[in-house]
Amino acid sequence: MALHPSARLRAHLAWLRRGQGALQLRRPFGATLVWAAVVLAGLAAGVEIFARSEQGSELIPLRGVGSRHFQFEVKVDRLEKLAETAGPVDCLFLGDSTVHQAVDPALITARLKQDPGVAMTCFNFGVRGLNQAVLAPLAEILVDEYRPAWLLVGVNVTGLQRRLAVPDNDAILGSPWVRQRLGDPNWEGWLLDHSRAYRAFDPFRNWMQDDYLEELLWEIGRWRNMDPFGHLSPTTVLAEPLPDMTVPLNQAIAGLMISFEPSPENLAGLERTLELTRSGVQVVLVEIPVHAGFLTLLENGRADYDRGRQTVADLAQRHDAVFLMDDSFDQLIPLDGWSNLNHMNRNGSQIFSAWLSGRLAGLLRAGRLHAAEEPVSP
Amino acid sequence: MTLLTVKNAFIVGAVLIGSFLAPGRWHKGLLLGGSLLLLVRLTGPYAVVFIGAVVVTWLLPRAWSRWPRALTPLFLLGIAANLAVLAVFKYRPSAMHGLARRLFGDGAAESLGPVLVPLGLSYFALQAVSYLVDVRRGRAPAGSGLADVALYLTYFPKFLAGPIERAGDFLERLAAPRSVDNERLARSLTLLVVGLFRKFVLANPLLAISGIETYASADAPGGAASAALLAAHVFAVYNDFAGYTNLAQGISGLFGLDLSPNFRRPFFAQGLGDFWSRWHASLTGWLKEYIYFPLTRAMLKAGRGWAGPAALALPPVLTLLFSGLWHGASPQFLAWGGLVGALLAVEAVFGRSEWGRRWRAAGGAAAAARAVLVTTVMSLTTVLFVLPIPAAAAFWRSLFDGSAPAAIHPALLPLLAISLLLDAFQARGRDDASLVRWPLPLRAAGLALAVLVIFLATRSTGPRVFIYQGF
Repeated sequence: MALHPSARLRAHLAWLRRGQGALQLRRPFGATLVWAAVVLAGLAAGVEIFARSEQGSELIPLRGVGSRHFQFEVKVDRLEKLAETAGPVDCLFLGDSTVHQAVDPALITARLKQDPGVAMTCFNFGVRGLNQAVLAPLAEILVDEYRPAWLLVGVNVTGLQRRLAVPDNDAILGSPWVRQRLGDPNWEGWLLDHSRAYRAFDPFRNWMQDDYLEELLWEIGRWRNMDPFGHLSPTTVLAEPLPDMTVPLNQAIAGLMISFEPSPENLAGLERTLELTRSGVQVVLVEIPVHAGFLTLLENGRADYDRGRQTVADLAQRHDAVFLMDDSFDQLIPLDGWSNLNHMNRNGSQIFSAWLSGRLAGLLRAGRLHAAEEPVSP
Repeated sequence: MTLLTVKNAFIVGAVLIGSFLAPGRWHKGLLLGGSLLLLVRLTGPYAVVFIGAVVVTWLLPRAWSRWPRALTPLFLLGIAANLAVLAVFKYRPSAMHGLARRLFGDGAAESLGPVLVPLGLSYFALQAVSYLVDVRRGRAPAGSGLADVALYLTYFPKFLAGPIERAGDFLERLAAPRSVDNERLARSLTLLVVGLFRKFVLANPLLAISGIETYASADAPGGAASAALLAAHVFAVYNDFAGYTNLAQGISGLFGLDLSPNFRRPFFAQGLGDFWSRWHASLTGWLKEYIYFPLTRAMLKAGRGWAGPAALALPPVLTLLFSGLWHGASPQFLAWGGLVGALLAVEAVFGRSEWGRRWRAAGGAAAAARAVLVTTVMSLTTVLFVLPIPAAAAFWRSLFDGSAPAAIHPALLPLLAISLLLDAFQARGRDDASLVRWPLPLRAAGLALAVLVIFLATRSTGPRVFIYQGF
């Protein structure tokens, strides 16, 4: 008579227990694995404690987040350090390299402290190649982490162009840390989020690749002079007010700018960023101007530029958000304020930041913006 | 396609758990099921070619044992059929692409991409030949079941890149009862860790440092820098393949089935012939067993002019020419085979002389010098494995162009030292898994450190595939 399945299973388990299966382990076993696990845990804990210590922190040149985009990594690292040393970060400037070079948070906070007397800690999170489509999820991550009072989003109107595709963005969005923060759990993202030692190792992961170390050290050196608030602008000055069309880069830009049309992805990104007001953060859009010479690369020149700007203004209006723009940038920022046709240099950034602080002060006074803290007593 | 994927690991894990839980009579079925599943995953539509070859290879010995008069023609048919499949895939891939298009449609043919030699076919063909020869010689049973033959030819730990097993030995091991006790488990896990260490900590960084293949179209840096690149490449290939073999042995060990060794510290070799018995030893063993020895015996038997120095010189040249063809269908591999064969022939003739005997007998520093010389000569021949003949010649010239010493990667020498140190430990224990005999604290610390370093090394964006799966 055939045995009941449960009886057969019991018989089989008994057979296995008698050591008659293929696996025939005798006690004791596993001591090496247990001790190795203990050593590994001890080793990991020791390295982690050292990485979190003051001496360890000083030795770590960069705490990576696995994106392979050095400037992004440096900005994340510097922002963290600012929050660790200066306390809560009250305002974040977000955008691409034009924001990185144009906005000087130290100057803006100093001006705001003078008038209308609010103390703020601000950070420039402008990163090369960040378009609005990528900026939106990053803004969500940063707002979630730092809870700033203000989110000032730099809008580089030409950067909205449909044809512009920036490979840097894939590196950022594909990084395990960003994926983890955006709700795509992965073990490496978790590790980057929780282990200072692993983050110290991360930038060196490809040490064996040709020139990787040199490149890493060059990148670290390149951003070394960035101030604690994330700003670094060059001192080089634009030589010619009109683009030299024999230069391949200008030809390429002109090719990309034909039939200017803001991309739906970037506009959707901008809209997603504006919706962060629901999280309690005040979102302000800021026009980051280009030199007038840049407009000659657009098929319809200023008309294209103004059309793009109007699109952003309409979007801001729909969300009841402020869009800080100006028609007098051509007069405001002189030729020696530009390092190239769409990036300001140190001189330009001082002028632009002074203009921006004035507009922010105006918004504060008008009650359109609220400071993170009460006004400082005179 | 690489073996080291989560899906493949899951399949292997599932088969392993099944083999631990199921009664012994199910083991072969489980192993064969897992092997066929991985075969399909690794070779895609070409799996039908393998399955067809398995059936033909299994049928022929049964046929000739039934009709002994047809033995020789059927035997030759089997050898020719297996080698023909390999040759057509290797040397006329465009024809196979056309056939794939006809059989499976444009989409499937395109999905096969540029890799037209199905993974594992080179190893499969040699083992099929081994089965036919061993059955004919009476070293393997003619009446083996289809499952046994299929498992011998497609067993997943060795399918992609060996070790190339002799049919008689493997089928004997397959027939014996298998179990995994403490010692075997520890040994297998040690081999897995050593394999991963060699692949990720040594081979991948050395491959990244070397980049020797880029000099097919560019000038090599010259002088010591070229020598450093070459050293990086040779040690990378060694660690990649030895690492793969250790992984195959470790995985197979978990199923209670031992696989043959493939590498026995080749950089400690005392002669060129010795080097070849230590490097890809399972291929060398196959070549010796099925080409070199029969050829030498035939020449000695023929007597007269064939029995003298010719019997020493010709077999290695012809054997290595076959080896070159097996590695690839281009003049560079043929040149490599001819060159190494000629070097082996010179060594064989020289070894018989008084000078040769003295050179071999000298110990101490002379032994170290022999190892360095052998490694250097073999490394130089390796250039032909990577570069076409003109580029290889230019690379060799660059080694002696007297260029000023250029900067070499700072990690190169430490990586070479670690590789040699690991070899030395294994040589001392006369076993790739000799680390398992270390005292417990040292073993635990070594394992912890190895796991940590392997983990960190896997974080690089370096290659995941094994070099020899391409042959």
